[in-house]
Amino acid sequence: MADPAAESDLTFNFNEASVLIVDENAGFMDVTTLMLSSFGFRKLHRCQSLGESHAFSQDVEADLILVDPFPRTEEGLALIRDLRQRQQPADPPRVVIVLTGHTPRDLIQQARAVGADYVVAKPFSPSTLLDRILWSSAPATARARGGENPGGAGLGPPAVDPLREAARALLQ
Amino acid sequence: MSQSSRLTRFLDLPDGIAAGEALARAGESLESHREAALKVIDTAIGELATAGSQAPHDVLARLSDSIGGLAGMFRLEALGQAAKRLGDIVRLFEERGAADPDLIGLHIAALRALRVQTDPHGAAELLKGLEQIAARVAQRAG
Repeated sequence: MADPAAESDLTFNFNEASVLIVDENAGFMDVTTLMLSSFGFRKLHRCQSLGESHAFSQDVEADLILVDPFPRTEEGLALIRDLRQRQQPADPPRVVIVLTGHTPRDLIQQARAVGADYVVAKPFSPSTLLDRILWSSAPATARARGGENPGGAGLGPPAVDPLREAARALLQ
Repeated sequence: MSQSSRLTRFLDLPDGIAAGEALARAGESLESHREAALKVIDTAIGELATAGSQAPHDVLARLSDSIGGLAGMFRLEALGQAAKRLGDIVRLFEERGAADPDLIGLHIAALRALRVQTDPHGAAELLKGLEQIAARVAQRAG
């Protein structure tokens, strides 16, 4: 299978880029941190509480925000909405990526509505994460040359899971 | 989205690295973290077993998400799938105000079995068995 990030001819140096990671799952946040460190990010700010993320985001001028809104979806989405509202029109926007293990269509729609650039389903590969970051980093002209938004198209209809369907039938 | 983002200025710098190099580093880094991640998974499975099938749905969902996310990252696909299914079922129960401790208990037992299952065929059979049981339960429920 093609590895879109590996095939990219872009080079990057994210040493000075600031990242805010909000994830109540400490084990998963460790993995995300490792990946980002491998991509060259050094200024990593970790917030393990959605409840504290608003205050945290005001203290940290992050260029990239990775947030898992679970289990307090409303607070997670409010964080993204707040970040977008505070954005100055003349400034280039932050990149906001939602990372979540639970991707119902309504969450994806809500996340996009409040200003997330992507929703990436957990688990994900380093290649998927880097691909989304690079696509969001590239100027619009380069993105147009590179084709479709990988994240926008990437989360299509969820695959039908027989067990989930059985459970759904059980609950009818 | 406007012409560029706040990350655009970090591209195409003279001392930059290529994606292939970054991904190779990430692969090595994840591999070195594998044992620590497996411990987190084992702890979550243990907590799930202790909490039991009648634990609050938010606890079950949190633990199954934790297992599902990490297992999928570390090539434990069957365990990841079963954990994700448990999370989905719990959320459905929550949405509908329903409960089926037997079905949840069955999934918890399956997660414990899948964690130590090293044969992919055996893991696939276990997943298939889970599906069949759930289907039978659904059929009985009419």
